[in-house]
Amino acid sequence: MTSTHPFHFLSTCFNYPQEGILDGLAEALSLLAADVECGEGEIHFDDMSLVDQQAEYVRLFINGPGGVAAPPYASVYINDAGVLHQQGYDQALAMYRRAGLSPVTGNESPDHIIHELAFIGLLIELGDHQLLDTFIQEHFAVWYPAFYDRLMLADPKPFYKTLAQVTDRCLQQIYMEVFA
Amino acid sequence: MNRRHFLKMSAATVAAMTAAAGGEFAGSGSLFRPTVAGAAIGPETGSMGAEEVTSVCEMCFWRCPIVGKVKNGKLVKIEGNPKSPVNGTRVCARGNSGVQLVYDPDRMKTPLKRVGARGEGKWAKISWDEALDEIAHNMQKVKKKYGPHALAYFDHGASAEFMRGVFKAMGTENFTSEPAFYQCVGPAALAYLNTVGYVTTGTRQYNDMGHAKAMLLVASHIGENVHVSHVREFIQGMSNGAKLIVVDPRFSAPANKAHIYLPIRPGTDTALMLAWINYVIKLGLYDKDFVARHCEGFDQLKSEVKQYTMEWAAKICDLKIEDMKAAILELAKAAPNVNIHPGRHSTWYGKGDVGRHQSYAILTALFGAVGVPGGIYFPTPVKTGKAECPEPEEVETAEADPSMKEDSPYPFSNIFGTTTRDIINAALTGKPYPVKLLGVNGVNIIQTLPNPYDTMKAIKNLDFIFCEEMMAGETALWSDIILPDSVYLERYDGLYAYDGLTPYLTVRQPVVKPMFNVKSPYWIAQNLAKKLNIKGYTCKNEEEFLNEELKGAGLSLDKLKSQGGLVTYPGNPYRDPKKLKVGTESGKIQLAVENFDDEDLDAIPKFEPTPAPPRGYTRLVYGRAPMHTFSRTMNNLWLHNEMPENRLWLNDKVAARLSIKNDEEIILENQDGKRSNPIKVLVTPGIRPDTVFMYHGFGSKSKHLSRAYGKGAADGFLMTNVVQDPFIGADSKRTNFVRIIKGGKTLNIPELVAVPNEIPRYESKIA
Repeated sequence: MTSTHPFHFLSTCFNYPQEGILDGLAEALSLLAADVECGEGEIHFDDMSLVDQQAEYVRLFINGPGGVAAPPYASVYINDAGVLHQQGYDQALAMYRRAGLSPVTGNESPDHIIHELAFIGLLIELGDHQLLDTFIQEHFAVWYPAFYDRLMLADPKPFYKTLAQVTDRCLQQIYMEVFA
Repeated sequence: MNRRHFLKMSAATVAAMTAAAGGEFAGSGSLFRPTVAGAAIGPETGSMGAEEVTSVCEMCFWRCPIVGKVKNGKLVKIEGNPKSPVNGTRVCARGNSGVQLVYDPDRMKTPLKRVGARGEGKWAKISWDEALDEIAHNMQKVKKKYGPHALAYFDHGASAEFMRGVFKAMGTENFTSEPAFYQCVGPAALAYLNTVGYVTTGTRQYNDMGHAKAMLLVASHIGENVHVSHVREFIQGMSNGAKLIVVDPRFSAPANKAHIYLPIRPGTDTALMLAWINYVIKLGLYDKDFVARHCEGFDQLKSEVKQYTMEWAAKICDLKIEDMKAAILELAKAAPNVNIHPGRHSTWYGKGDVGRHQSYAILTALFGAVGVPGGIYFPTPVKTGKAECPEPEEVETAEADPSMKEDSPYPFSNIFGTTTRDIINAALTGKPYPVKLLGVNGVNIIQTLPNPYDTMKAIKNLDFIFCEEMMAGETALWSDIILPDSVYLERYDGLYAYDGLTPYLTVRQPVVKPMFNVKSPYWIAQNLAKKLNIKGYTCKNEEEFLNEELKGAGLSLDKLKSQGGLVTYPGNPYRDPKKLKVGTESGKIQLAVENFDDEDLDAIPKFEPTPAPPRGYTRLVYGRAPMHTFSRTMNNLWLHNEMPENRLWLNDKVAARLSIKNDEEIILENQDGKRSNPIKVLVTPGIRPDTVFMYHGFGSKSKHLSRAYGKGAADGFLMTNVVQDPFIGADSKRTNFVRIIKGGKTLNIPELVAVPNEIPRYESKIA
């Protein structure tokens, strides 16, 4: 199950930054941002060292001053308690199951944004619009805005700011194109 | 919808996206696989129908046997193990909240490496291999440059021993420096060890409250200080009609249940105890037969305590003499089924802490309350095997010269390890030799040790510091590498053999699969040992050594699981008074401790007054909250909701004089000008005018703890006057004084209780 779909690309961008692919990701994200008419203009990873970019990722998504700024897990936002493995987690698993899929999680929770964006990409590829509709309206679009707000509140560096904006815009596009 | 028409993108974008991930987004495409046919799940909510996995709690060190209820791989509830004779199906608020520790988004999720300044909180994620390489490299580098003793290890908790072995094998003498002893139970443990021959109070307490006819608690606040079986035994005793005497400057939870409450002047408990001992001897209220058969040093005791009269003590302790007499007569009437509670946290005033606990043990012995129902009792060892494989092989190591451990100015410190304060001072001053690398495991030394300013300076002087943690407290924030531990509900640990009144054997086992990229403490020690070429740690995993150890009890992990995860044994806590033999050299209870005399320390406790507050200040004391453990649980969602911050208990008359209202927010300033976070005031008649109180563990300075950060005040950050106890060098914590800052204005505390001339006054260095 591989793809060139933008949601898979966005999922990849939400992974921990690794050496060697950063410039390519930044360039592609800049172009995608221009296509969907949002973002911070052209982004260059050259503006930050790899270490700084990694530290930014840790601050925003793993552990940071003030607690992790924007935990990238559905469960944190769907449940008022703000903890992991609650309703958001259950919902994600149930919908993956409906698609006949199991998440390959490694060390991550299956409601991590990388899984959820990839799942949207897969549903588009599979043409399962009904489940796509349910997944987005009843799940992803319920938590993503709160995640977006927390991320923006943490004043992220341009790459993550643009990534969040582009993801948001792509979500809106889906609304218009699929559900309108 | 045709996907080619979805999200209009330029060809350049598609090409760039494709190129960016090497032709395909393999990372995201491989995030799913087809579901295995037949995989079904049950209903999502509630705990009905959940799988039950037995284990052992670690929300505090009491370690109650528990059952984790698991549904679809998710922990949904924790209860007590019904087979447990000590807690049954009960767990405390903290035990329940283990669920929230597993699922806290602030958890440490992956090894992190510091990429900013120490304490700045700037981190990069690294692999386990890189993290352990980095630690091994630094341990070898420091050892080569400064010698093996420049490495030191601070630890606390069930599984810290695995890493202890790594430090030991590196050749340092500073591999057992558990702050739990030097910051908490050490003076009490030493006093009982030398008086009655065993550690009556340590991680366990051999203290039969459930069968006592009378109990004495000196500042022990059972009910606020919650351990389930402990509280149950206390309640059992009370339900059976035990008389309760509580001595505490604060009207604590048990004070509320006391028959006689003695609101003592802080720092004078030993005066009260010695006067009581004298009174008991003078009136012949002691068990003469027991003393003649089983005690040594009675005549010396009698002669030395003669000076401590009830009249004198009433003045020193600011108590009513008739209450003091009534209390001791009530205790004497219940003898030998009387519980002189040994307490646990004993590092109060530095000088006199061992003596205070010695006086509890002496009174216990005078009442013959040893090895009898209601008194202190003897442990019943549970027989298990011993596996060698989770340890390093024994290696010859060079003795330190000079040795911080063996040449310590505190003659009894080496029984437990190396004194915490000596290690901090060695890191600060380089004397007697430099300490340049710290491993910290399961203890937040910046909150636990008094004078955190010195601790932070010491950390700055280190070449390297790493920690193993589940949550990023202040110490993690200051570390170079953080290793994320699996939570106790995700791992195996050692065996748990309870040797109290109702012995049992149980085992901690994973209730759920580990979240994130965390590892168990055994795995971490084993793999670090490999990097350091340390031989040993040959067990493949925890199950292997647990099975080996269980063999000695005729069990295996499977067999134990099939028996509800816990097996019980008959207890043997009491002794025939005619055949009593205790664990001292002579087999008799030492009313005068010769070992102490040999080291020019007092064989029999003396009252040496601790200085009273400087004018304008009041004494700061602290204690435990029922729903929190140390500074470890303040970020836990459920526990945070129960008690998000601490409050300052302030006497109502003092508050009125200062025009401070209940719930008003103030700042505290100590005798050295150190200020606290803002803290709300609890105005109450339930505390003496010369004392203020707060629960310990709040006021976190770690921004990594999103709920706990900045909530309430940290007592430790107001402790800069630290006095070492002369026996083991434990740190005093009730030798600090505060005044109040309100609206930017400094308010001196009015002295509503006169200080007698016999008690010197602490001289503040600031105006």
